[in-house]
Amino acid sequence: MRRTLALTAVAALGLVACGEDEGSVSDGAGAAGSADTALTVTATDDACTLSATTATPGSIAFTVTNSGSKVNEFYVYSGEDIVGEVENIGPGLTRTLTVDDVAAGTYETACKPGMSGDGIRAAFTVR
Amino acid sequence: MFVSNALIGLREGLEAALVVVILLAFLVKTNRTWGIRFVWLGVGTAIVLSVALGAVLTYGTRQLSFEAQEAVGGTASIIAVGFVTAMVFWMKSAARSISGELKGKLDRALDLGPLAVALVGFLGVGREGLETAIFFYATAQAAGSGNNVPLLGWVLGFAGAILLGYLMYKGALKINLSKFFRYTGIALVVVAGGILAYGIHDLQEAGFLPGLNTLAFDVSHVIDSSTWYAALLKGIFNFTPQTTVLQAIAWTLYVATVLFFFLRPARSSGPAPTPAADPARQTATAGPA
Repeated sequence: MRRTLALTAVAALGLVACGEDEGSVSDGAGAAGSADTALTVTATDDACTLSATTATPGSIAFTVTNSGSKVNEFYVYSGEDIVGEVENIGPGLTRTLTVDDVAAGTYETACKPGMSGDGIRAAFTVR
Repeated sequence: MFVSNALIGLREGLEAALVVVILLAFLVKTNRTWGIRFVWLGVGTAIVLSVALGAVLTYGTRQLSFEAQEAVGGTASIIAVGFVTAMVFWMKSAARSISGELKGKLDRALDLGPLAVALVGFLGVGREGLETAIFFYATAQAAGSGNNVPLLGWVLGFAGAILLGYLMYKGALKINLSKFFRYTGIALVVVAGGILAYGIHDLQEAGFLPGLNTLAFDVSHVIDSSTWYAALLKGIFNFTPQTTVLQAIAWTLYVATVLFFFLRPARSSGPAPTPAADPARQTATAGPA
């Protein structure tokens, strides 16, 4: 029993380590400053304003500032799939979502004030 | 601004503290004090790693992709469920050895080793530690640009969670031993079911598991996510107003199966191997991922 647990433990650590590795290695050019496109998003309780609704293919950094009173979330969708999301954007906070290798196409952005519902959606074009 | 950031701190603190609190209470209650420092070793490692990695991601030029972050959180959650399940059956065997149904020798064989105890602490805190650290840095940055209300809110909320955890620990130590095993065992199963559902949702968001938009129920019009009770429900049971079918099925299967084997009276004539085989089987059943 103890041996099984120890083995599982090693496997667990390995998995966690792999996950972290993959992420930081694959997107070295991640942070807002070094992304191909850097956009800002101003989120309030009833609006979601992007500095631009188009971008060129590549990495895009969305720097989201919550100036409302509710906890907000920011999503980028491709159809029904989530391309990227940043949760727990408390009132008064600024958080960055970086999505890598975005291909040309039509996407949708959404702010979710109050952390529920479909959110305030808008079309976003990469070309 | 203060309250909603405080609620985030409260929720995140509870998510991290619950499993650790129950594990510590169990170790103290059954005189396994050797394990306490290993729990703290795991917890400490998780905190140091999260804080360091969070700083690198916040202030450095590197960023963890969304998929990687969800995959780490989701996978660590599901592995944590495996260890917590083993812990539940460890408790059951400890309860029986104390009531004299089993010989002490078997109890020792079933004991989780130091490494496993440390891992429960590590995974319990670490699975969402990175998100918590990054959130903390976001409040620190807001404070740096002149708005310290979010930071103050988060710190007080998080401290509130630690205080609640401490009170639960004190309360658990007061319960008599046989009730202690039953109640903390049931509590652990329900908490672990929530962690499993949480992990599955993370993996669904990252696209590793299907069915993100296939909801079992949506009570978000009844339970407003921004209220204090929603924060408590999420922090303790990982209950989300919008729950996917896959989450609901996994939660139900896990809680029903593990509770059945946990509450099933031990057959006094039965040979030893049965309880030893249980945890592995439960983990396999519960992990559709």
